[in-house]
Amino acid sequence: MTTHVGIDVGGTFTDAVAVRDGVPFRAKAFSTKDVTTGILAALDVLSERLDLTTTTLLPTVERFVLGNTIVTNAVDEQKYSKVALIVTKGFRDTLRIARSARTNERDPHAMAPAAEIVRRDMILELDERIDSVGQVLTPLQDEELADVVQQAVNAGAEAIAVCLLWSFRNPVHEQAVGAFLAENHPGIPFSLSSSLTPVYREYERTVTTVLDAAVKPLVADHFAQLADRLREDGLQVPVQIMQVHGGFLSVQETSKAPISMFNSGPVGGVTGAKILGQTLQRSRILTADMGGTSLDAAAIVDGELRLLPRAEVGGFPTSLTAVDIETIGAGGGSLAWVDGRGLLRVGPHSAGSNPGPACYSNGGSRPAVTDAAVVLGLIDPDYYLGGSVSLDQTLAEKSLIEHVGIELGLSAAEAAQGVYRLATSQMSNALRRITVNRGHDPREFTLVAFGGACGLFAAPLAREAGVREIVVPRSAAVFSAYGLMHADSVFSSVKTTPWSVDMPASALEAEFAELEATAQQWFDAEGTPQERREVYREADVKFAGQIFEVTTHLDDGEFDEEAKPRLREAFVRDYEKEFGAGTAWTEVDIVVVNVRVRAVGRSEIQVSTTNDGTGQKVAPTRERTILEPNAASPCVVNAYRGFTSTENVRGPLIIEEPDTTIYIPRDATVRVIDTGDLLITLDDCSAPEAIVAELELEGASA
Amino acid sequence: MSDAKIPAGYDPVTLEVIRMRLDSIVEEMGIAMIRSSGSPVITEGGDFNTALFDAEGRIYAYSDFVQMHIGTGSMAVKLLMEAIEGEPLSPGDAFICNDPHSSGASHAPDTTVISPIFIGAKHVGWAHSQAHLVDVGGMNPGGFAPAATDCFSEAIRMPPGVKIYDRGEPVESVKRTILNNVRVPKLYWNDVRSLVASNNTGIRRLVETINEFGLDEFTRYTALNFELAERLVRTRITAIPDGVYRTSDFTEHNGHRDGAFEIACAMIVEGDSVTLDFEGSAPQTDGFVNCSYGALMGAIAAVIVPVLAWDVPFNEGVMSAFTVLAPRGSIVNPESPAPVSNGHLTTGSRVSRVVAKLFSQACMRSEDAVIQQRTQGQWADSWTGGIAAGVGADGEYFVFFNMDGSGSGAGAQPTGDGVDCAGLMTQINNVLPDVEMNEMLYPILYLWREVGPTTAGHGQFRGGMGLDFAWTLHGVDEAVQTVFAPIARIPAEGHGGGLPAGGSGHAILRGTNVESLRNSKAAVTKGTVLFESRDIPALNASGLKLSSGEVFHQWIAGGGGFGDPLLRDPEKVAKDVHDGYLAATIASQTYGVELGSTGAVDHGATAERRTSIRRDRIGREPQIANGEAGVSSAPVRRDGAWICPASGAVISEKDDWREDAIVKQDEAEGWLSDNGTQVRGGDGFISVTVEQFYSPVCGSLLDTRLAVTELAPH
Repeated sequence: MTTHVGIDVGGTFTDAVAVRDGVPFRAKAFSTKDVTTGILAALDVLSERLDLTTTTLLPTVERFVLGNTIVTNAVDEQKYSKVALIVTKGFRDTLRIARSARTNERDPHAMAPAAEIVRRDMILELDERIDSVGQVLTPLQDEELADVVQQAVNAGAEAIAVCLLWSFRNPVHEQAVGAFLAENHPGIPFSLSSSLTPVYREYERTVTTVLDAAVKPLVADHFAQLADRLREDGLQVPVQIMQVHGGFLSVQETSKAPISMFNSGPVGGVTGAKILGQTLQRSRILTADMGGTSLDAAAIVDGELRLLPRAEVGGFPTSLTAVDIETIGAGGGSLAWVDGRGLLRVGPHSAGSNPGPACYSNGGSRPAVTDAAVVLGLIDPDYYLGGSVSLDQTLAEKSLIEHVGIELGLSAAEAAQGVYRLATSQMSNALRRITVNRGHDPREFTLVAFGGACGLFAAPLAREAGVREIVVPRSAAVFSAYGLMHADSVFSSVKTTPWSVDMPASALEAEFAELEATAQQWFDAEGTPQERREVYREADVKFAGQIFEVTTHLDDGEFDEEAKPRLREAFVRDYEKEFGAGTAWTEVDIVVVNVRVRAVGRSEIQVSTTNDGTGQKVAPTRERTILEPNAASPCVVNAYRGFTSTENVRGPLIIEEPDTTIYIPRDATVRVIDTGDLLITLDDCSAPEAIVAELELEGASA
Repeated sequence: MSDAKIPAGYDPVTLEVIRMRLDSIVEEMGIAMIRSSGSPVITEGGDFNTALFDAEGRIYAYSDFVQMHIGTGSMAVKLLMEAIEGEPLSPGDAFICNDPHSSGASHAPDTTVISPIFIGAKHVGWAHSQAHLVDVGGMNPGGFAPAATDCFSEAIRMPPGVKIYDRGEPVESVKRTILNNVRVPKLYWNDVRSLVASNNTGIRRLVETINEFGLDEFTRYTALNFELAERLVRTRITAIPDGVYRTSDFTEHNGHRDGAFEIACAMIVEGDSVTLDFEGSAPQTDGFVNCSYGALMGAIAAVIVPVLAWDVPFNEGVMSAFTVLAPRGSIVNPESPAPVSNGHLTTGSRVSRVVAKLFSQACMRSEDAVIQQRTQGQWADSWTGGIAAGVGADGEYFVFFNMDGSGSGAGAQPTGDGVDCAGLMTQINNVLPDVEMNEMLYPILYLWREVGPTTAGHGQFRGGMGLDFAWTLHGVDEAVQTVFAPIARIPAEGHGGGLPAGGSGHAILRGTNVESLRNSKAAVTKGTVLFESRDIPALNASGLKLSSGEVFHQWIAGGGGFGDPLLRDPEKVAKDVHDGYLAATIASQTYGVELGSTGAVDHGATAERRTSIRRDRIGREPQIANGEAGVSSAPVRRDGAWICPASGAVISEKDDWREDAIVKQDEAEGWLSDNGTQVRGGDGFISVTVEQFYSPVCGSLLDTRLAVTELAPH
């Protein structure tokens, strides 16, 4: 009997999923401030579902994966430890200059400096200098180092971040600082930029290093507490922690660079969608995860998550690589308003969970997207979250009339339609950005829609984005936790190594070999069996003279002189995929900036099937009156609880699950597929003709 | 629908969906350009823009990268349409232009590519992309030619109507001609390709959008979008009292000659319309500071958007309420052969300052609560530049156009301090380069890069600080340096009692100990560099020789302050002192804040000090009545009288409250220096005076102004 457990700590709920011999169980508990208590509570509920207790469940667990928000919360609330930052002399203001804190904000009243994460008196300078080729111009002096560290300690530093110019090219000075700290101040955690993120651009590197150091004490305490407690309760296997790049690491590895846990929450869902796609044999998956305040969208092409360099953390650009997730502020709680021109807008402000949408009767008076869905009849006010929260339709109508209807001359129902359509339109822009802007045709994708609010919008959203097929997982509401269990362990090691084609291939080969050796050490430390080890070589490449690089996969085997033209071909292919055919700089040589090795320990996937495949007769629960978002008048539809038809059923209809509601419009059909999930198919989409043309035209004239 | 602002027959949701789509298309065009470009001016400096126009040349949507280009883009499209009228046009065609006198460009490096958009055989609009290219030929690398006396020396000049792509294929003869005239042809052509890629992106998305909604519906809705934007801006103008507001400012040097070149402007507010009349501005000059008409329009748009249309998606309608009159042959509307290569960053930026100041003057007279707040300290609007050129260790020619120049400070706002290193007001999305970025690309080594505490204007809210940095050559023995410091003597002014900011400048340290420090592996820092001479170049200079071991130092102007410094929260003053961004002596003398031995605010001593400063200002006991906490000293009109909101004092019942103020005048360089702020002196060409206006009742500083007198004719 094997048990895998996945836990996803969210803002409101902590979800736990167990798969025991292929059978899934799920449980929810309220998240707690200390995170640990919420995790333990969710485990208690989960154990009950399995007719066990936590102490009898944990010893049988073979795999324990945790998606943790402790770092995300710390960053969002700016709850940082007191950090000292050590920099090269003369460059004390890098964080303040912030590479100019201008954004796309047009209102000068709203322009603001970057948040201060390190007080200026805690930024200390070292007389040392390394140049762009890694040559030491001014060596570090031991005495000065001791003096600077003492200043940091005296100022009360709880953690120390070190980011010196060009340290990624030559880490000798940062390493000296690290060695000194480890020996003389073992109680103060520190982060070295050259170990954490050895890539160029000191601003992003400094930010990343400072944020990492700033959450280290917090994370160390949390892990010590959690790991102790789980071990006491009988857990035999190490806890694995989800990372922002889409794989997981052990507690020990995570503690070395905790910032990589930031925003790993949505990654669980994306990973789940990837696994689901493999099960369904769909090579292109688009995900839409819609909760209370935002929609997260990601694209999975040929079974791979797209990784993006320079991920943003707490409003700062960092040098982290993260799963490419497009987030927009449109969720169930997004507020509708009328702007100065008399136009309807939705978001980005959100009613959150407190006071929440007007229909929550919790003091909120402004209309949210959820209010619109209630007014349209898409949500049954008496069956929201399985009836656990009762909604007030009158308040929803009142809010729409007062804040939208009067000004625009619309009835509550018309206003609700407008809010619904506008929200859908905004969300579809996110789906388009993640597909069309990256050079993909949305018609080739299957949309996997999950998160509490997504079922209400999935079908119209897909239509507007040009997607034809939608899968709503049966476990939509706890899908992220489900996904976590199936993630691979991923380790990636990167080094900035300028290399041009006139240099010997062996130089690049040596760099790869060095990184690969590190990867194998990591596999050994993680105890990954040989047969599940996979190692990939990647390079960030650009045409000589360009500023930004495109990541290119190298083929297997040694990089020798014969491999040079193949690297160029691969890069040109990836480049044109990004910018369109014909945009490659044909006259120019390529340059490698970073080399990277990605090591993947593949997980053993347990496929779980919940559907018995009996194809029971459709049993309409009852009839309800709804107003479709683009219809002139209301209509009566079937509302199902426990939809089981394996034959296509045509909309309009409503499917009510205990934790979510799914709306099927009249131009779509729905059925249950083998995995137990819902498959929605849209009638022929007309718009996307132009999309094909655009993809073909993309670089044709360049 | 009687109360509704949307006329019958339009669906408000469709309206907003189309608007969002257009905005997202121009943004995608910009991303395509950044990602495919090789030029740091584009990728780091963000000095480019993208836009979509209808077939008549009206702007549908415009991307917020640099707002000044709004004006130049509109003109480029209209002038192209005139130039090629009657000529056949096909999908895949693209036209290139850069001539400031005939094609709308602000200066020659700003190169535009315009492509027609077709649906079937029907021409429905234009895609427009413009970027600052690193070199466009002419007498100076980088296209800025301080020594030029006419536009023929400045660059290759392409008028409207030069076809660079014909049905998707490059026009080889044109390409050869252009590339033969520029210093870095590979980079140039790759950037042209990026401009075309950006237009292609715009074309395919627009075509798709029009197909989705149908051309007629699309046209109907975009026309309404123009109208709604126009209506909102006009409504806001109505809240500004009618009248004629006047001010002027000066361009400080013309490229090869000191002087004071006046930019005079009268803003006539009449109902819901505004006329900006530049009559009285200096005639065009034989230096590169003449501001082309396109740059003039852009400089004006760059102020209208943040001041009156900050929350409106930009389209043609935003500008409809404005009429601009600029005399032909003047410094703000020059004719060929006037040189113009730095006009937009000198005179043009000053136009932005002038217009922003006019709005501050006018909006403060409004009794509308929102419009009354649309005031601010001036931004350091004039771009401080440094361009080094030479032959790198690899034998290749390099042009180091340092985008650190965008590190000027923002003006303080009624709501808070100005942003440090914010760039010009027009530079939405401004990005400065990393030190490692510049050191990787160019043979230089930075010695320091910090914010300059002597650059910010003091006030209840401080102006943003400017960048201060120095570098030395690294890996090459010599280079030739071009500099411009167009905001050296007449810095950004404050508003409502905020103080003027510091100015920009350059110094070259010669005869240094850098080589010997490096030989002994000692640190080369601000504290260790010794030198025999510190050469301060003219405000604009080119051909400056730099040799190894010499140090190039540049500091950049800050933003003007807002409100009387005595009103600044003492805790903020203490933090500035603690952080090293303010001297304790200035905290005491300018802000009236006394700190105890631990650096904490001594509240008793501070209150006493502040009262005593007020007393000294007006020579009598200050009366402070029902002041509102946290509000500023900027006078407001209430029931026909002028009030200092911070003290509650009634200052004046006259139309111009200044008539009742106590006025003091001091020579600017010395007075600012006493307040810890650095500007360059007049060098015998001009004299600059700081006029201070104090409330006769409460002793609050209500306003400071810079008055400029020309000492030598130019």
